[in-house]
Amino acid sequence: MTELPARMRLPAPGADPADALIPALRAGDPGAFRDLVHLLGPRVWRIAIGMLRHEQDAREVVQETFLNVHRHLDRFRGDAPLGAWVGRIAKNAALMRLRTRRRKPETPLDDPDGGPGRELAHPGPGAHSAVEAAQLGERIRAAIERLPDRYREVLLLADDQELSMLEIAQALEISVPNVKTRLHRARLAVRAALEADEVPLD
Amino acid sequence: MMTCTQVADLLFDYCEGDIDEHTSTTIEQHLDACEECDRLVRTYSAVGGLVRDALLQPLPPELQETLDEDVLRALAQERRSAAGG
Repeated sequence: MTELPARMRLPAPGADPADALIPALRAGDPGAFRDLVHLLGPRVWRIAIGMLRHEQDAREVVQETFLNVHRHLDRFRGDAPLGAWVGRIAKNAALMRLRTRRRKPETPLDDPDGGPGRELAHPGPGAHSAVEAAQLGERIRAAIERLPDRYREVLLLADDQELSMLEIAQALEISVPNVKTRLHRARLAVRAALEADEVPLD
Repeated sequence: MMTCTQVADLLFDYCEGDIDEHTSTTIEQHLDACEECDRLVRTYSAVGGLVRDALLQPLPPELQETLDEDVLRALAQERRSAAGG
C-alpha cells in the first residue's frame, strides 16, 4: 500500500486542535508557532514539572522542547497527533534532564529537607471543586508526600507521567525488577493510606 | 485453588496485565470466591488513576505568559545566531 504524503492525511474528527496549525507551521509562520506554544505549553509544562518537580528545570525543559519542535518540525510525519509528538519530545527532554541531574550531587532529586524540588503539584482553585474529589485528592497527595523518595519518584514517573518500566529503569539507572518492586510498594502504600491503614515500606 | 498470599504476590503483574492467561484465570477464580482479595485488586488497580487525577494541575496564567515569552525569546535568539553563523 502506498503511503499518503503526511500533509494529505487528515486528522481524525475531534482530533488534537494543534493539528490545525500544521500547514502554517510547515510554512514557517511565526504566529502559528506562537499559537502552538500557547496551546501545548500547559501539556509540556505538566510533563516537565511532573517528572522533574523543580520549577526552574521544568521551565528550561519547556524551552528545550519547543526549540526542538521548531528545529525538527520537518521530521514530523503526521501519523500521530502533533500534541502527542510534542509530548514525546518533552518527555525525552525531561528524561535527559533527569539523567543529567542524577549525576550532579549538588542538585539531588530527593531533597530530604523539602526544597522546591520536593513540592507536589496542587490543583488550582479552578480545578475539580467537588468537595469529595478535593478531599480525596488531598489525601492522595499527602500519601504520596509521605512515601520514601525512592518509591515516590517511581510512582510519579509511572502513574503520573505514564512512563514504561524500561524508561523509568533507564532514567533512574536501576533495574526493571527494582522499578516494579518500588512501584508495587508505592501503590500499596497509597492504597493503604486511603484505607487509613499503614503498610510497612522497609 | 490459589491462596490469598499467592494472589498478593502476583498482584502487580496481574494488574499490569503482565501474566499468562492460565495464571490470570486461576487468580480470577480466587477473586470470585474471596471478597477481600477482590477488593484488594479493585482498590490497588485504581491507585494509578487516582494518583494521576490528584496531580492534575492547570497551568497558572502568569506562568503560561512567561513560558510563551521564554520560548519565543529563545527561538528568536536561535534564529539570530543561525542567520549570523
